[in-house]
Amino acid sequence: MEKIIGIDLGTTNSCVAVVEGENAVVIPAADGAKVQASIVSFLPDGRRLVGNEAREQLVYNPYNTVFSAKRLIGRAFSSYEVQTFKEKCPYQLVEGPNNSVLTQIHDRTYTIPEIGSFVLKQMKSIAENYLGEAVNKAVITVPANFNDQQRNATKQAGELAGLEVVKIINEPTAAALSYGFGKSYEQKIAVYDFGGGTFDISVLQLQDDLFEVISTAGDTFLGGDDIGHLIVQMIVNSYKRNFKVEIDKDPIAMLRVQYEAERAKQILSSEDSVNIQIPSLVSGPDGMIDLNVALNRTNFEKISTELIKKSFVICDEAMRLAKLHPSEIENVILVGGTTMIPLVRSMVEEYFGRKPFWGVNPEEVVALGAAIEGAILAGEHRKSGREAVLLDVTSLSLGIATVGGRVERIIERNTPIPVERTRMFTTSRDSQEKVHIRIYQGESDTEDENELMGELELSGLNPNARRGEAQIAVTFEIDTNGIVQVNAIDKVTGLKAAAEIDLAGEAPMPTGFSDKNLPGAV
Amino acid sequence: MKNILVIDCEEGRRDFFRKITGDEFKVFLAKNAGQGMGGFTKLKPPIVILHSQSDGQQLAADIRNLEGGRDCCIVILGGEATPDVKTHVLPWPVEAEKLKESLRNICRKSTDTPEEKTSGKEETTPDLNLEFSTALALFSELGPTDIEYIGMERLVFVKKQYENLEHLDYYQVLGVPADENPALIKRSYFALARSYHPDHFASVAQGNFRQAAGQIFRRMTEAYQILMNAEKRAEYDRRISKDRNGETLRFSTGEREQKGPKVRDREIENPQARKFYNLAQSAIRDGDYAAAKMNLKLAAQMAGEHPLIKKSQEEIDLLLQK
Repeated sequence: MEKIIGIDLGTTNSCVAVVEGENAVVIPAADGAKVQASIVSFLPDGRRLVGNEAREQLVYNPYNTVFSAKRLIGRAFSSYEVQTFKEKCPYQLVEGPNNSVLTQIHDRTYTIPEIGSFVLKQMKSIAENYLGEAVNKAVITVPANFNDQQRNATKQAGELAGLEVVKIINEPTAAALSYGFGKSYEQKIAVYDFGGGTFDISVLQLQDDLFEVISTAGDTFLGGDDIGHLIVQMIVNSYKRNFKVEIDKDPIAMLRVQYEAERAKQILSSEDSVNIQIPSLVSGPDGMIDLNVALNRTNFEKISTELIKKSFVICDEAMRLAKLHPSEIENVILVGGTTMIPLVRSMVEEYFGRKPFWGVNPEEVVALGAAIEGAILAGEHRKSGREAVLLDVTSLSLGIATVGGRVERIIERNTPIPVERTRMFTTSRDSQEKVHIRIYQGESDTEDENELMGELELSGLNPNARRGEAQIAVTFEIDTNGIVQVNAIDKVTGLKAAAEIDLAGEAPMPTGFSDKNLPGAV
Repeated sequence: MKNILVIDCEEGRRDFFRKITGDEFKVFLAKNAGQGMGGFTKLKPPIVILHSQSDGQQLAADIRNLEGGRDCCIVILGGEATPDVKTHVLPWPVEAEKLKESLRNICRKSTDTPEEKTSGKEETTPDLNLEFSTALALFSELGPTDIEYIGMERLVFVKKQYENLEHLDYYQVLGVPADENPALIKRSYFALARSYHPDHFASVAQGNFRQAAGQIFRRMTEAYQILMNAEKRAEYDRRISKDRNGETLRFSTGEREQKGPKVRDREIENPQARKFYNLAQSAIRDGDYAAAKMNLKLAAQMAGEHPLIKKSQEEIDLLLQK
């Protein structure tokens, strides 16, 4: 039976796992590393470094080293998130077709899914080396709060890496699966997933082999990287005050500080204090200035408390949606590198009134869950009889634009998936042959505050119909991947109306209706 | 002790069936068949008794909803054999002792032949075989290992539910009675998810079966969501009590028809291109695909990349391939 691997494609790190026999195992690279940095570096000689070996290129080759691409995937170039990221980001971002994001490296551009595909290719080859056979299929995880475009773009990244993406599953759900698979639990759990770039909280009911997501909430722009930035900010400010030098005016110096700040953050998870030292960091009035900062855990916690607190505002939201009090949660699973920070752990404990579950590695648990789902999808339970059913929800409301810039919701957030809803549409003019619908995802009632997901065009309507005569039933479907499909049927003629969604924010996949479909000239 | 589930049990007959209860048989009484048999779907009854008044079609579907549905015996009192389920017909009215004796015989028969039970196809009735073979014809993409994995029960269930889907209300979709409490609705949905969640069929060949099973499960999920929300459920109940045509059976369809959004066109701006595009559209209507293709190509040359033209070109290519 063909193996389906599980991949956790993270903002900072990625991890791959597979089920072998009874158990899911994380697949190590040849050097034994179980996680790889989600970094792609393009060297001047044309070589490409991916993963851990690309990490130090962040400092040596900053303009051609792409990191945190997950923060950009599936987003519109003009979006606030991309524009904010662009300001701090050393590699170059340019606008591509359809308001998509491209990165300019040397003399060519790459789409963000392409960058993702390089990371996934590495995961694929790590798995192939380990298994000794070709791997063509994968389950890939995404933050629960990812929208349709981000999911599609992730899927596209997989396909570009030569992987059939059998399913996209939510990271917290994957973690829950890894925690509870085969254990026959009956309990309500919370998965607190604080990664490098995103935060998610999901509340699940486990019932034997059934994993029902009761609610989920998240912030795709709150992550551990932001805590690293706080350390950077602290250093910048103190050097401004004490030495009157502006480190933030020197991009290379900033990168070195960021690199060391990230390391310091990790060290402070196990040590009480750390010295951040960088020789000859910037030039001051009296020559080069070294960086030498001592940071102890108390100070570190002081500067990061506010940011970590933000995650509990989101937890409140998830609890409200689940109609539960934190004390009713019977177990808390920690996911993501940021949960290694002791302060995060103690704040989680305080919030839920119980110690979080110890016993899963927060950096590996998502990939393990994805591998378990992969094995189920591969049909391995046909032999083993060990099954699990994931009943997930959609984390974002789906709506359409109506008059006056309002958005009318068609599918509310937290609706169990798969789901479909049908709405009737009609024409507003005589002989109208097309109907145009804008589709949004988000929780606001107005168009500008939601994310434009795409535009749907229904064409080929009866040209002889008067206004209001046409009846087009448009079915919006969210599948188990959280991906939206739209179908339309002209109720009058019974014909399938042609429905096409132009995905906003992502360059269209090459689908082949170019000139090559039109052999023979006029 | 054998469980007996009596379906369509009118008030007046309850006492009669209570007489059967004893050391040998434990009797459960369900009001009617159409609504999931009173929450007894978890029961694993070896024997189901129904009255001739029961709707056979509905019953057959309901029996399959029983957890032990595949292994139960069905006894019809004073009626004709129901299509597609294994049945025994006994006379009605009948004395309690006589009925017990007949039930005893039936039990003996079914326990005497355990090998036949597990061997599957040979043992089933011709009606079920018929259902099975029509299901196989519908899901022709499935190979022998897929069929063995999915099993006759699920294949037949998916086929029947899929065909009936537009006539089922949410209670029927979940196989629960209309007054079922939320905890049992949830249980029923979970039980269905264990059998029909699309993940179970991800390793099965793509095609009609997966599509049908997917649609059924989406409907189950929809039903679950509405029925678990007290407010929405009340509104749904009001609606279906007035009118039970296909449209009202689903919560979302047809409720806001008049309020449709203001829709707008995205015209092809270049006037020449629009002209060729319109010519192409009328050519398509006339069935002259070659001319349509030519006009579209001209339109594309003038308007550049326009989704309408692209879309149309794609359609034409498909039509020409056929």
